[in-house]
Amino acid sequence: MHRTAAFLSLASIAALGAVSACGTSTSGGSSSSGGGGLSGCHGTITVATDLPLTGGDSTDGPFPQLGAQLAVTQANSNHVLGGCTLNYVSKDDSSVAKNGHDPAQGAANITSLAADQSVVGVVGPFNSSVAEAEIPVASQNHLALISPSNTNPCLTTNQAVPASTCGITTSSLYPGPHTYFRVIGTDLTQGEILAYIAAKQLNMTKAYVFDDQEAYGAGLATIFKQHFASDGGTVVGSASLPGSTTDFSTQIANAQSSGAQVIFFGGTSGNGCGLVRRDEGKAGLTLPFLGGDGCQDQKFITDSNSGSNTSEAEGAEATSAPDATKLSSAQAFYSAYSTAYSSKSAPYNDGKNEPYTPFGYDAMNILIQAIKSVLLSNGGQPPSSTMTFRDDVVQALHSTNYSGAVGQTSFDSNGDTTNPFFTLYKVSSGNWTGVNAYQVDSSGNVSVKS
Amino acid sequence: MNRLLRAFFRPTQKITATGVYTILVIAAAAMVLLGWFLPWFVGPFSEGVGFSPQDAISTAPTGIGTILLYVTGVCMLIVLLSPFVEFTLRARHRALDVRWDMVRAAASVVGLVLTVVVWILVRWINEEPLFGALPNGITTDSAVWLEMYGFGLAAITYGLKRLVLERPNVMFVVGVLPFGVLLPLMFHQAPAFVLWATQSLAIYMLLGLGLNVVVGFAGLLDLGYAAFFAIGGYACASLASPIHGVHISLWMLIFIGAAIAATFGAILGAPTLRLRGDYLAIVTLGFGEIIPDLATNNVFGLTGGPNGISGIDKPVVGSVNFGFNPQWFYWSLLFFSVVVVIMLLNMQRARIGRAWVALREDEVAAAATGINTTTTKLLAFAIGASVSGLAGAFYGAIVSIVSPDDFQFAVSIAVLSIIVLGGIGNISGVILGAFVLTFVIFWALPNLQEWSATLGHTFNVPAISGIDFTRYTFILYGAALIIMMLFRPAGLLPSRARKVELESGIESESLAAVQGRA
Amino acid sequence: MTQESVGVGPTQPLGEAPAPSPRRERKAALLVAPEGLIARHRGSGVMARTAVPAFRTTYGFISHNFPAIIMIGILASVLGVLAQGGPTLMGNQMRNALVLGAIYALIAIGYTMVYGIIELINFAHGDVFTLSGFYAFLIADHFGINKLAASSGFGLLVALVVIFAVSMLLAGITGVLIERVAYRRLRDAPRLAPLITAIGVSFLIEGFMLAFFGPDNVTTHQASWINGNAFTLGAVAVRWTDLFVLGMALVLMFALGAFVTRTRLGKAMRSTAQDRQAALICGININRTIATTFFIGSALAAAGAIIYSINYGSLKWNLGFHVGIIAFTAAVLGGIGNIVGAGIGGFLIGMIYVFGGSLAGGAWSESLIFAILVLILTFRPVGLFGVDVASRS
Repeated sequence: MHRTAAFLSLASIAALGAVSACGTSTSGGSSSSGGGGLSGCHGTITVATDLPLTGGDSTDGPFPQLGAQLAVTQANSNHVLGGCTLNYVSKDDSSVAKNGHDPAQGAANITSLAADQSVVGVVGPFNSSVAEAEIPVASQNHLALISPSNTNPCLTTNQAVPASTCGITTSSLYPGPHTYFRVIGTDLTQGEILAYIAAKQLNMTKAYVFDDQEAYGAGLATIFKQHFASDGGTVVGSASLPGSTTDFSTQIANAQSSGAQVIFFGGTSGNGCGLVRRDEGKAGLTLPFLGGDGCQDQKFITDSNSGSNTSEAEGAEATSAPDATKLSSAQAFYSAYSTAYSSKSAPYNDGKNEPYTPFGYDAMNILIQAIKSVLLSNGGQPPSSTMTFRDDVVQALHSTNYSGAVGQTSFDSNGDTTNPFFTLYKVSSGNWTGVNAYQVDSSGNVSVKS
Repeated sequence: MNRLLRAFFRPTQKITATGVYTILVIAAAAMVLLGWFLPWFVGPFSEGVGFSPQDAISTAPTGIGTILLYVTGVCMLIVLLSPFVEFTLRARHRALDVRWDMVRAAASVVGLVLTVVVWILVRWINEEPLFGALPNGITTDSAVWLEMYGFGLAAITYGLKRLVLERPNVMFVVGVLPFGVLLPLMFHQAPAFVLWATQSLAIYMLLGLGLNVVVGFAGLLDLGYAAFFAIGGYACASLASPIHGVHISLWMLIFIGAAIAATFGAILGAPTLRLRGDYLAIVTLGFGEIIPDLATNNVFGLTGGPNGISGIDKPVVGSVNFGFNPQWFYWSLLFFSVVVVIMLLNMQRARIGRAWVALREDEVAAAATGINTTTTKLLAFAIGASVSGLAGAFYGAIVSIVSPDDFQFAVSIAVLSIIVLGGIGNISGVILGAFVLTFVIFWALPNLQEWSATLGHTFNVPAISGIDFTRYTFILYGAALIIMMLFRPAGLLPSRARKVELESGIESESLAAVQGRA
Repeated sequence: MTQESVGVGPTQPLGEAPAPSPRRERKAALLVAPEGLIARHRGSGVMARTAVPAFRTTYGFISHNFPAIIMIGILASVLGVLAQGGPTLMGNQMRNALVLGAIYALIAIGYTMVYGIIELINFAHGDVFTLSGFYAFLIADHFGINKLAASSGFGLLVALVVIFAVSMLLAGITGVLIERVAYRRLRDAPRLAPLITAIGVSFLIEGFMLAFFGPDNVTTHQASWINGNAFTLGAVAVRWTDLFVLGMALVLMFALGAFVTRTRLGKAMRSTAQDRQAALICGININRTIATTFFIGSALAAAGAIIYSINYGSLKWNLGFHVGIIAFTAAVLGGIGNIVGAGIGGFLIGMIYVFGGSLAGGAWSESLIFAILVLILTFRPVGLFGVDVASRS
């Protein structure tokens, strides 16, 4: 008797588990409004994100993840896909064994997402090294992968950069179709623009270059050095320090002694961008500071001002792809974000704490739009074969023309966002304010965009 | 019967006998349990239907399905509870009645048969083909296969208990390997398990086995084992990728990588010859930090800097390109793991193994009995490192990129935790530790959020579904390590010799054998 | 890893044969038996039989003169920096090195004390450092201490006294708690078990700080407590903060030195470190002594954290691991178990880090630190200020 009773309780737990598994599988959304032509659509379509959420990466990754999640929530409540519902899966590509992003975990995530026949597209990854492990898997499974933040130029093509600095061949990266896209410009463009600003706009000839020993930061610093030299400047010293560094005074003293006129930091605020500026102030040095989009955020200002001079950040400059916090198109997104995540703990309750937040949102919206156009062209129903569905989504992504929080996005044949322009921002009264917008034409000339 | 009992409690005959038995029994129970609740563990939101009473009741003709499931459930409970009963009794130095072995074996067989029957029944009712890919049947297949795996394993273990205890290693291979080999076929629609097994379990298990040689066998505490992993990984990556234009087949590289790692193991081991205990740990920790640093700084232009080496070649066998198919990697890793385990088991029993034990127990006495401590220590480092070279070669081939981030201190810690948790010096323990800890690190922690969400939705408790587990991963990992160590300081499956030392303060294995204490 | 047999002191290494310990005079603040660090029977050991005599001579020379070699190395790098950027750069870097060194020294002492007394590499110590920094931050922010510090010179003094006293007390309690929960049960377990729990505690504290203080740098508002330059030497500006950091570190270290050598509790600590069983026989309360050690070590880490916070103005959840490992190297450099050695080691590591980093580029400064670590342990495991190895062979 006892045994039967015990089994009964066990069975009921199992039954409940099964109910949950079934419960989520019923397709909701019977509303016929919205998603014109898709009211007859039936079923659930899964989209996913794969971003680093824990450990050392919890300072960046959760923001685009929440942005993307918001896009799905909005699409579902607005019935963008008519009768079809979007199911959202969030994968974490960080592991405690690596204390942050883990390419192996990322590849495993994409493989398991690809094996799930209902998944048609993924937003992610955040880190270029993870992308290198994930792109081949996604490509082989014809799965669309849209990164909100990968800026390593080598991921899409290595025509523009010397292949030796890449160490990747596109053929080994893409065993199948080209399914990788990114909504952010590459380091190549940005490094060139930054060098142009330092050499031609600020008229500096001697630069001291920091980087954070990560793929993004070191890559940006290398490209900056190349272009700064070709623009007539000299790199009087450089320091490559791990992201865990908290004291930059040694290198600041070196910069001071080498007669540097401008300090450049290739890397992210999480890896010490603001701390360099802080230590610059501590050493009594008043040199212009220039950084990339990894620096252009609120963290930089907080960190710079954490020293004895609480307005040290003033005057520091950094470029960014259009800073969404200044774009009118993004205001609706930021307010929606704050409303949706007001219960989250700081800093996650405000999307403006991370430059990549709206990119995650836009990437997901672009994916949803692509899915919608596939549904429409397929007579309002998902294609019966998963592979066809995925291929169609990739095709639709190639012809994306989406106006979102970060502006107009469309992709070239390599999956790079077309006509990327960068804006130079300067800290003034504790806020980043836009100065100029720059773009690079096809022959490699930088010009101020009016 | 008496002989069986004596075999069971004879402590000296085979150190690993009860260990293997324990692994088989627990694995069987875990598989049965996991299969029952699989829809819960794997993708709660995917559209799979689980192997659970709910499905059977809703699909099978009322009455038959329910009865079958209830019987299966009773079998499951027997398989689940019997290890607990047995180990509780054993802890009190009492034996389980041998008749129970028959009952348990019979229950397992019945469970196995009923699983198949229910499976066919469900498919028949649903008018689905018995085998073959179903778009939404992902978890069903896996659940049934897990149930079959578990019941099958239990049937073998209980039915052939005597053989298991007398020839543990043979039985381990016989009992586990066929299932292991069949696994990717069973799971051909749900690669989550195979993925975990190839990407994390096998790699970390190999690393654990290698580190176990250094720490467990020879007693040399190594806190920078990731350095050797990095050396193996980078060596193989640079010889099979576009970075230097060299493309050597993985099957050659395994040996090259192992040789290179072994060489470095001996080189880095040399400065530590005079050091003991914690001091050795600190030096190895230093190496563990220096090697990834060298890789980051692109030393001699070999390592590709922070980007690492990418585009690593995929292995090819005949006309089969492994590509990104985890099944092929699974089989080859399984094969090499078995080879490594057999190699290490033999080594443990051979002259060198006994030299390691002597060295571990008393270095001065070992030297006095004519053991060359220098070569013995260096061999431990070299052999331990060579296994990580193998793991590094496979890691690069699977993930297709190696970068300095992959070989940080945290990796050394994870591997060390695996062997300490599993039971230092005990190969079965290391394997179990790898199972448990990689499951926690790479499966449970990343999925906790999803599970708690499901749990919360199921029981309609928003407090549970609202917990943001990603914020607490580190706390949970740390707490898990502390709790496991506080309650099992000698590991889950302590090696018999170590256990004797721990409990009675007797230092030598032979003395323990003489006294017959367990 | 083996169980220590009864009668052999806890400071004996693994499986060391219980040979009669030669009675020798111990240095005042040395917490560990120097015999425990290296193989004792060198004559009958491997070295003697297999190594080439020339190798032995070289090894002996380096080992014997290791302090001199390190000093020459540091001096050379100082001169290198002088050549690189003139006296201004050298002066600036010297100031940076001393400030950094003072912080490392305070953390290193905690490592050395715990290792000396229970032979455990307390991986959680670096995280106790960060955590106590956050204690100070919370206290200063929530009880108006920041305003007090900014009000006047006297206010600053009161603020400093309050914040040091309270945070050191809290950190001490944390340390004792950690010992009680995570280490005491495992005192006689296999050696690796407490090491893993130490790492577990480290993850736990880091995870706790990550969850409650967020993933980013947290501004502690303490950098503006002490402002302005004290004086300038040529073009080298020395700030009041720098003087405060240095002075505070030295005062705390001397106070600790006096405590360990002069007080009964200090004596109990030293005897527990030398031989736990014998100390027990002499009527010393082992548990209380070990708890005291953890209390003092953690309190010093708290002092280090406040000093860090006043100097840098921000804290981050994972700061402790990085700083901790470097401080640990300092403890080893000074001879682990040796409190004075750890203090001096901290300053030397600060110099190596700054001057080495200045010359070799920041990318190599950490590798340099760890290379030094490996070299010390290879050639002189007892550290710079331990007992001379060569004279005992």
